[in-house]
Amino acid sequence: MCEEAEPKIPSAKLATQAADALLTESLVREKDLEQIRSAFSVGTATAGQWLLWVDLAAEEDDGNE
Amino acid sequence: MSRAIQRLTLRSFRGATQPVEIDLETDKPLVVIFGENGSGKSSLIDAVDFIANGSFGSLMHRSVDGQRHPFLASLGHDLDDIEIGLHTKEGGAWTARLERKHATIERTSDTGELPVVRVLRRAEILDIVEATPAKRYEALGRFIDVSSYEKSEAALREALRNAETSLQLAAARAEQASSSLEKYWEAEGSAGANAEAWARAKAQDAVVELEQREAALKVVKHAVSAVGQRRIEYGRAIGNTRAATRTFSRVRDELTQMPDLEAADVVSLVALLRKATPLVAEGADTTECPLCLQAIPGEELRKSIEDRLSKLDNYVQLADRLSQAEKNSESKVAVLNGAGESLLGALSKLAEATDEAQAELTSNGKALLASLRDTLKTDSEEVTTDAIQAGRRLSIVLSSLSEALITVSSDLAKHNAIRVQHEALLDAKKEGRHQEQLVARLKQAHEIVESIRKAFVDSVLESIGEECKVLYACIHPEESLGSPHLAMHENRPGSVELEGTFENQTNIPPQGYYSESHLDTLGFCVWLAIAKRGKPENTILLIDDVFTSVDAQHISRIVRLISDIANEFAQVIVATHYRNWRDRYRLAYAPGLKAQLLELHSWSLARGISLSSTELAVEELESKLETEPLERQAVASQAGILLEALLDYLTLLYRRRLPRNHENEWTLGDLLSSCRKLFNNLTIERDVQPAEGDGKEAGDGQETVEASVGVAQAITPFYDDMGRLLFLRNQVGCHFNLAGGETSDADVRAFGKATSLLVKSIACHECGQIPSRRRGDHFACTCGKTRMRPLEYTG
Repeated sequence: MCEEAEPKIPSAKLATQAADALLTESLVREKDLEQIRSAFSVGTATAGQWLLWVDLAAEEDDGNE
Repeated sequence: MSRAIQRLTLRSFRGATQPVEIDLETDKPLVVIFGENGSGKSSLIDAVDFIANGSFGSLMHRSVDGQRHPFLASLGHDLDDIEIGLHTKEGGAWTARLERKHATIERTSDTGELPVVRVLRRAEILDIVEATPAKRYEALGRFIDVSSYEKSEAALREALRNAETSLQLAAARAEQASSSLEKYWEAEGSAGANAEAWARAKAQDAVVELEQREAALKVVKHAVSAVGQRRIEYGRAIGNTRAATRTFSRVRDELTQMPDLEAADVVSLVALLRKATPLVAEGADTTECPLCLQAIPGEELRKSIEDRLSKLDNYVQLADRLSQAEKNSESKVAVLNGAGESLLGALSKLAEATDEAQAELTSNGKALLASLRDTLKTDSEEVTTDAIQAGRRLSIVLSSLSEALITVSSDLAKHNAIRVQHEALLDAKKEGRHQEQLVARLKQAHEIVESIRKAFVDSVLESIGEECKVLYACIHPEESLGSPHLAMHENRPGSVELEGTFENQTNIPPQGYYSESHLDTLGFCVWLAIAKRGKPENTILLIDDVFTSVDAQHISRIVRLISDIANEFAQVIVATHYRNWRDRYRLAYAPGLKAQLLELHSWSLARGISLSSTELAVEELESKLETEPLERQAVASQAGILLEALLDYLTLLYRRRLPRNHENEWTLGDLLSSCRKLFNNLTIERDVQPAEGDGKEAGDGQETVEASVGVAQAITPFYDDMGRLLFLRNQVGCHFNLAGGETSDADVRAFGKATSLLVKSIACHECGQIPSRRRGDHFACTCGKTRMRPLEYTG
């Protein structure tokens, strides 16, 4: 009905910030980043997804080494 | 363009039993609505809340039986008659009605956006200050609610817990496998460096040999079992053959003992007699012999044949039995021969199998098998007694074989168990390493995610807290309590702690130590700090008579604070029953005041809400000066009140000495005496914009704009002008006396004008405020364009 004075607290913005930080530390893969941001910001990320994202990044890391 | 409210209309809403229209001066960011209790202040605030937020306003905080919406309509009016209209400065227009128990808002213009309206009622203050941390979190939720983020963070935490559990399970599996291997290792003599190294070597041993040994033994065992079985069958066949032979002999003997008859003859005779029987059967027509044609004694003949046949039957039956016994004996012999061949076959296979399994047999078993084999190597096509005898020793051989088989199978099972446990150990260790890495990464990820959230929430709360601290210090300068700050509860998500200082104690809960008025101002400051975080330029603040417990000194600071912050918002509307609030504007400001003062009249059912603008005292005085005939008493009295208000203000500001009395009330004479020397030293400096054409011409022919310059002005002349006519205040404005009646209108006008000029000579022409803020060596007004010196005066 009335416009918010500012956007609702930006979970999405925080999610982006967190996802970027995770990528910097190679804790997630770049190819998963968009999915992480999306699920993270709307609160639908599950424990299973987290395990997969982090595990795949670890595999990629091991592969690179 | 501003979203400030330009016009508000109410119809049949709450106290508006008659239509109400209020026009607001949108160039003034602050609107002060004064009204005594029950005059309709909350109805106006609720109307704005209803149209902007769809809220039922103050009704939401009241205990009402049943639903609240029926009480939105004015007494005696229908809910359908409710209508609120709102127009903004930027041209927006909306109408709100109640439909199906809810507010429906209709836009009635194409431009503008509905303003964001934040309403502060006393209930909100309690929510912020005295409510539980969780309730406070709700109040702050709009700024710190990161629930979506927190959900995903919780999922990450769960993932970490899952990985930690998997790590523990892998460690347990490794421990179990290691323990099992340790036992095998110790049982095998603890060879090698450790159980794992031993198991690794053991697992690499070829298992084929063991498997072959086991298979060979199984074959031998099977062959031995087969021999045993064949032997039993053979024995049974021997028994059967012997029995058949004995039967045959016995029948033959019986036949031998029969009368000496040629068997063939007997048979032939019997056959003949049997053929003849029908011929002499009873009833047959046999009166004579067909051969000799002699008469036949039929009856006698028939009986004779039957007797003779009867005697011959025993012989015939015996002959049949002999034949049968002979056949049976032959059959048994054939079976015996077959069983013998089977036994030989089984023995032959056993001989072959034993070659394979020599190494696995016990010495006794080996000897037995050797003996057995030797026996079988006779190449005889018949079963010998030795072979049969050897077969009887098979149970011993079987026992030996079983022992060997158990040993080999046990070795094989142990080998397999070691191999399986070793593989389990390797798997568990590998899984453990994987989970360890995963746990470390998830932990790091969680730390990052959590720290980002905490940093964000803390920064918001810190920012609100810092702003709150500044605002609070404006209302409570140099007091021993304050420094309010907000913080998320460490162990309870969704909870915000409010803490402050009291004397030298820090981090104390204000609710426990602060007075009610301090809590009110604290709640106000938190609310204001929050409101400032949004987009204040689009936000309208409505403050609904919240300062009921605050004393006069603090009210004046609050009034000043609200005046200061009003410019930051689209509009600030204050509703108050506190008359001093109105008077502080009315008496202490000159024209230019950036506030609109409205005064609600007493409410009645017939008249509803009614209101009018309140003039500043100086404006009121000036309008009275223009009226004819001159209201002499009113002018003198008004000028006196204005003068007293000004002097009272200055004595406070400069801490001037006044004669002490019980009521802290002073006469105009006391105030004047106190300020006389001050006025001689008082100067006002104003920023003056250079007039057009006063700019200097630059080299390029363009005129440069000069900055405003400060022009100082002494106040003494204004004070002297007023002072000469001061006696008129008592003579004309306050008391009955003959001298007053002799005073001319011109003198009364002169007194009024001198007072007005004195006030205006001190007040800022831009913001209407008398300078009161300490800035360096002077006092400054709100807009900063007027300065008053000196800062201190003790003369």
